[in-house]
Amino acid sequence: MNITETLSRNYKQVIYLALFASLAIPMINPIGLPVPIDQTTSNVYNKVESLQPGDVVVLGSNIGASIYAEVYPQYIAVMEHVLRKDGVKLILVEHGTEAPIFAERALQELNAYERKTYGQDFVNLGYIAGDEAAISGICRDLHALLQVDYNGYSLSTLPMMNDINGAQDFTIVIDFTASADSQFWLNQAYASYGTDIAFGLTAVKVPDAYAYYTAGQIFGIIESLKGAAGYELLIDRPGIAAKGMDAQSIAHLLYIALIVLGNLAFYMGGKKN
Amino acid sequence: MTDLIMALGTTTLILMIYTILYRENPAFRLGEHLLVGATVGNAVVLAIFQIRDLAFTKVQQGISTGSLGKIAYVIPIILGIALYMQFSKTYKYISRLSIAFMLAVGISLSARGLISVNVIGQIKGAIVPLTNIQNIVYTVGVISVLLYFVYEERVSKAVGPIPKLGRYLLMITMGAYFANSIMGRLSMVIGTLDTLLVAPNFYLIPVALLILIADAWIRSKKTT
Repeated sequence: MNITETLSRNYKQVIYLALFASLAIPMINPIGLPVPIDQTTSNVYNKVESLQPGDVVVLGSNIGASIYAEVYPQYIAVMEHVLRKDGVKLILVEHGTEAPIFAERALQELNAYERKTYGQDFVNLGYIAGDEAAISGICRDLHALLQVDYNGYSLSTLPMMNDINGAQDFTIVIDFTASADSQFWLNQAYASYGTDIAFGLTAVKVPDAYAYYTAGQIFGIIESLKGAAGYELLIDRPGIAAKGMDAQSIAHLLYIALIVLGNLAFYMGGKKN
Repeated sequence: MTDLIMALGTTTLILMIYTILYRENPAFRLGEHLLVGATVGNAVVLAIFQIRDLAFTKVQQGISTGSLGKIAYVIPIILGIALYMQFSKTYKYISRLSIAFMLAVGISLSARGLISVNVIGQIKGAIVPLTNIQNIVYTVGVISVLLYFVYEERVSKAVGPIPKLGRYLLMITMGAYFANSIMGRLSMVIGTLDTLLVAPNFYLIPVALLILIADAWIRSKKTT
């Protein structure tokens, strides 16, 4: 068998194994490759860092099982950063049916209920059906739309909600998603009330969001696991994202090598196959 | 103990789903159906709570306080029920009223924002001072890609090779999309590996591998 035939064979299982090894080995034995921090991620960090007591941060989420690995590390890193800011109010809004599970998980993981006072420092509004109509309702008059939060408490009994009625009271909104919800926040909160918006997105959604970033309509983007790793380093709390960056870099090198090999096989085989 | 059961359950389900890399099999199917079932079950429960909190409770309050504004929430409830008329051949037309209402609300809500954000905002954002290389590349990119989508013959001839440049820039953009897509998929694998590569979850990997090897051996015996 010559080299062309060797390269032209179907190596599906070998590629899976090589990919598994390239991801698993650096995760077990981290190499410690430097993680570059994007400007888009730094912008989100700087904005949160500059918040003053009394400011209100809304974290929108559509995190589900399918995007958990990419977006949850961003979500938890930003939430941790907001919780560290004394006097800053945090509102969690979920517009995906699986998102409340991950919102509560993040709050538990960060010991939010012990560190802060529920209803005074943070509130989880839970899942709100209706997509853009729901976000419009939140922005216009939160109390008219909702009467109870995720835990069943009446909004009128939660002290921090007395002064928060809608988007005019939100300082920033950061939406974590892989779908069109981010556009809904832009349409309703940014276009109508001028609220500062940022996104935490899956890698596939990032190129779309850059159009808004370069136009100055959003102040930052946390890009996939890479952005999450950068944010984790900025808040000095390395987690799964930072741990996974070595694996990601090695796997990218493997991909490049496979693309080169595939093209070699194509050209050396006389473009027949 | 609960944590241990949860962790092992999660790991088992991840491994069941990954068995598709070997071949189509009942373990994969079971894992897939469990995911779909759990997602739908969760969504149904949340939907019921939403109807209760966003509509029924308000109607009840409206009736007890005499507030017409809250009683009016009965209208979306009726429209929602009307959607189910889709399943009746005779009364299907009623569901169209609800669909028309939903479409109208959706379009009217998004129209203002879309024009402001996606048209006016983007045009404003595209006008940048040509003071640095990034802005120059950005402006050339916007103009050449826009010209690529101008199909008027005289214009195409007048601008020469600029649309072709737009085409190449679009290809580069597609490459960036695809590379981002790969990065996203890898991130998902990394997320699951983070669950798999910790004790005691890790010990289930050799068990799964042994099952696969046994299956491959049995299958090879059958074929020979």
